[in-house]
Amino acid sequence: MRAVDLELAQRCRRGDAEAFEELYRAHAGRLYNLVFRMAGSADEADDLLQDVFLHAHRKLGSFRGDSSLGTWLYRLAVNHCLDFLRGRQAKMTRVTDSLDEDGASEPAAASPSVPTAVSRIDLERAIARLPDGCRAAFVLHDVEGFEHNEVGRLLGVSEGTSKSQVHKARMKLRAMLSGID
Amino acid sequence: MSCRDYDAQIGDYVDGAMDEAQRASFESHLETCASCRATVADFSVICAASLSLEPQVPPPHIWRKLSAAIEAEPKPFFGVGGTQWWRAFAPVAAMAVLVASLSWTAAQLTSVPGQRLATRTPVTQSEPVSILAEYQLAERDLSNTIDGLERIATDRTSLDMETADVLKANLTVLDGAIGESREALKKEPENDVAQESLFEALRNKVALLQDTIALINEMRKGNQEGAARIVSGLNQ
Repeated sequence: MRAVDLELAQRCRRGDAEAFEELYRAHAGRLYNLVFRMAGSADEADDLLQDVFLHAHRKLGSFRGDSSLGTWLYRLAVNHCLDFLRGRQAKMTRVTDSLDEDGASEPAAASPSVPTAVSRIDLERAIARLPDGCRAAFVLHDVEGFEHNEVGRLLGVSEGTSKSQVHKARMKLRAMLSGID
Repeated sequence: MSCRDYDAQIGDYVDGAMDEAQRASFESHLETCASCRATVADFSVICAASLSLEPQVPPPHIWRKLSAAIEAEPKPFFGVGGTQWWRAFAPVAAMAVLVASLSWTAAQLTSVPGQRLATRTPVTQSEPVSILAEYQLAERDLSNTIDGLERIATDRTSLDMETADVLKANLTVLDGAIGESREALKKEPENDVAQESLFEALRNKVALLQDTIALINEMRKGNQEGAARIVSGLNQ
């Protein structure tokens, strides 16, 4: 597997366009799922995926085969998404930030109840409405299936922070899917 | 314990991340707390639905835009297809032509170790780091690779004078580009253009050295066919 990855990376480094397309076809689907949900919008996901692969194309010289190409690309994509989210957050107003910080994640006063057959469309929309920080942790944990310690490593936060962010996201989703928020 | 004290444990319970004692304690709380039971039920629904979300398919236009953007990128030295890189790296092309015209025999060449040509400093795959740090890591890795390659490729006993001179001239061009990029980065460490230029020049230097050494090895083995194949690759 690694030998195949190294060979593909080597071909890409040499400017083999077919090799790079092969790389794209093999990994674009998984990375698009990630960037789509991390960004919360299709338009931004399109740009992000393109940027991730463009960045990968430039950085393939640093791929040493310590991990699989898929893992290497995935980390690259997560880092790229985080840079994007930080940039976007920096542009957001303090009003939005403070709403996020001061208890908007607490359970609503009324007792919410999520329909047992929640529609995927509703869930996608609700995930897109989450604040960036807790959406990133939620996507990596609940959608992508990483453990909290792995999410912490990917996001550069502690395991405890990952847990609290995921909890916060679930509470918000619960409120949204119950029609309370 | 109040209901709120259990709040943080709901996630662990839903994720199946509790040990038996914790689970038993939490479940006895659930028996008496309708609010926590409702939260657990809702979280379970959300988790199950999240894991079964439909895959998103990247629209075709992304690849079209990406391939166009890559086509506009500077090409590596010995890439396949495209013509712009020849203009950018004409000195290397000249070297390839010169090397192809060299008359050589196995007798002129001493034996060469067949070991791997490059020794790289093992670096643990990085955790999320800044782009600047990634470039510094990549630069260090490439520089280490270059040191190892350069020792072999520029060994005058392994090369005839003419090839060595051409190689030296081309390395001078690349070292100039590397030096300029490093100077620019000293002034602006996060300058994207300078980072990309440095990275590209280092990669190009690695490629030049690797191909030169591969050619030397084939020549030493007296493998004219192998050497011709490399020279042909250089000329593509």
